[in-house]
Amino acid sequence: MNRAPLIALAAVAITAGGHALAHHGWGSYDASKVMTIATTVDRVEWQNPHVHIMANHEGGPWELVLAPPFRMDARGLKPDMIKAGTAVRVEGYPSTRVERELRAERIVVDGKTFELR
Amino acid sequence: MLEAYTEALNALEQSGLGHLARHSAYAFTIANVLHVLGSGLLVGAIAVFDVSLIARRFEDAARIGRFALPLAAGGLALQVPTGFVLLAAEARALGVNPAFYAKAGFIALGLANVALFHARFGASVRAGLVHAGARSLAFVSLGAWVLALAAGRMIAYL
Repeated sequence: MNRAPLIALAAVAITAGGHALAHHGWGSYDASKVMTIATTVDRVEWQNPHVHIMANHEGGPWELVLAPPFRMDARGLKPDMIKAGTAVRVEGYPSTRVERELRAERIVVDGKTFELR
Repeated sequence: MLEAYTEALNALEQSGLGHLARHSAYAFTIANVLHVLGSGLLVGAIAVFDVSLIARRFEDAARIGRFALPLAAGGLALQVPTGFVLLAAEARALGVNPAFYAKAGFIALGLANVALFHARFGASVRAGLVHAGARSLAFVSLGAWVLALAAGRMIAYL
């Protein structure tokens, strides 16, 4: 029986352990801590794999991770609806790895709620 | 070495391909769908061949290989360009994802195994006379490609 795959996996697990990651999978958000952030958008990155909103909340900058652009569009959210200066309310879960990053479950724009999952 | 790698990831992310992947909903989505299709073809077709060897159905394996191996190669040919589009969107972050390293390792193992298999058993497959020595390579193949697929899917969760 060849053990090469196991050895390769172990090697990767050992060597990759020390890396800090810039972006994170959906597994690294604490779904037990639901947060609501009501704020005004500073900046939007309307791009794959996820749309991001930068905004201030409780005296600090937050990065709010929304859905992929394709899904945003499918749920009725267009780029001209969320821009710098737009008031939004975002519900979601804080990252367990980085401060001030939130994965959005839903967003309220102009009185309408959009589910993002 | 690591610096050159980081540099290459950065260049990919800043490239026109990276820009397209981030800003075109269709390019990213289509690449995503075709990448899944490619993995289905690759792992599915290779599994049929590998399992026929593992089950010691050597005569069947030779016949199956004539259909399954080109299909698996076609799946891989779909994987590579679509994979670059998906990677380009966030190359700096994805390129250092532990699951991405694992995936790259399993792909390297799978490809090395393909080369070894063809060198040792290519002629006998074509002659319809595969023998028991090919079984251990079939185990490695099945493991490598299934784990490459699993690691690839895990990129989104780590």
